[in-house]
Amino acid sequence: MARIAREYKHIQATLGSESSLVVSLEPIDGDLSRWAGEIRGPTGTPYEGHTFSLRLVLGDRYPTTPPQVTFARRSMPHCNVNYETGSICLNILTPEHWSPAWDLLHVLEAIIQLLSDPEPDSPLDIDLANILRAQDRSAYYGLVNYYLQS
Amino acid sequence: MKVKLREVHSVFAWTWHIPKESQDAHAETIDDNDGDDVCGICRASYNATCPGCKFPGDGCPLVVGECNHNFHVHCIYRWLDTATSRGLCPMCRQTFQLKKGLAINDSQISKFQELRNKQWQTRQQEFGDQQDPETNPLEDQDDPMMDQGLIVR
Repeated sequence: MARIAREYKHIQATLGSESSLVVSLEPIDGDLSRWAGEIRGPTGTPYEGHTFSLRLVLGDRYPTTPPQVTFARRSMPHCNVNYETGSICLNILTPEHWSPAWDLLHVLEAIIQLLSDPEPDSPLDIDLANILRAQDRSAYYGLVNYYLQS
Repeated sequence: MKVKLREVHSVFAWTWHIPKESQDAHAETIDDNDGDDVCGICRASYNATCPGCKFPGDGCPLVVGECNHNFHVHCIYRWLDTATSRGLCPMCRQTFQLKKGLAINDSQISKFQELRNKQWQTRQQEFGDQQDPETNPLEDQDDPMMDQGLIVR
């Protein structure tokens, strides 16, 4: 059995607990190379109370190569996310830093962590990153909130 | 009393013998449904096969790393055979080396040594390419600082 099929079994067995911020993670139309995920925004951030959709695409060589993960377009205001395309800048998702010991749930956990800890030194949204670099977290959160409400 | 045996059904089980000190390294990883230790790469039990094999046993053996992380030999080889692995263990990110003096590793040592040599040569080639003006025309080949840097490395 392929690794991703085992992962699917594990995901079905562990998902659904109230404490997890990962709401759902399901293959799209039964295709194990394309997944739809939903995460809750972590508490203590402007993302709290919102749910975000992600798309995970696995190459033929997964888990040797990392999955490609994106937020839905124009859904995630964050300095490490391109708001228009939803692409994410996260080191563990690059081939250089990926490890085959990680799986799709680890990836979603890492993204949730990224929502709590934005990293302004590797930005995909330069304006948001600059506000954060200026140590103005309340302005950053205010702008994130504005995007989330609109 | 005399007992007459009519039939004998022999049942046996086998399992890879993993040296004690290497066993607990996986305590935190996810077990499969049988509660067996699983390969950190393919998530199949050590005693089962990697995804590419049909028959468990000698055809799809385990290897034990110096760092006490164990994998199906096919799984870890496939990983180490990528440039992006940089020769590192997927679990702990130390350079993956076969643990010495273990029977389970013995037959694989030459194969892993060859892989390391191959990657070393690839790196050497990339290294050579940087000096080749045709493949890298933008590099300033006469830069003495650059040459010094290359020698130091």
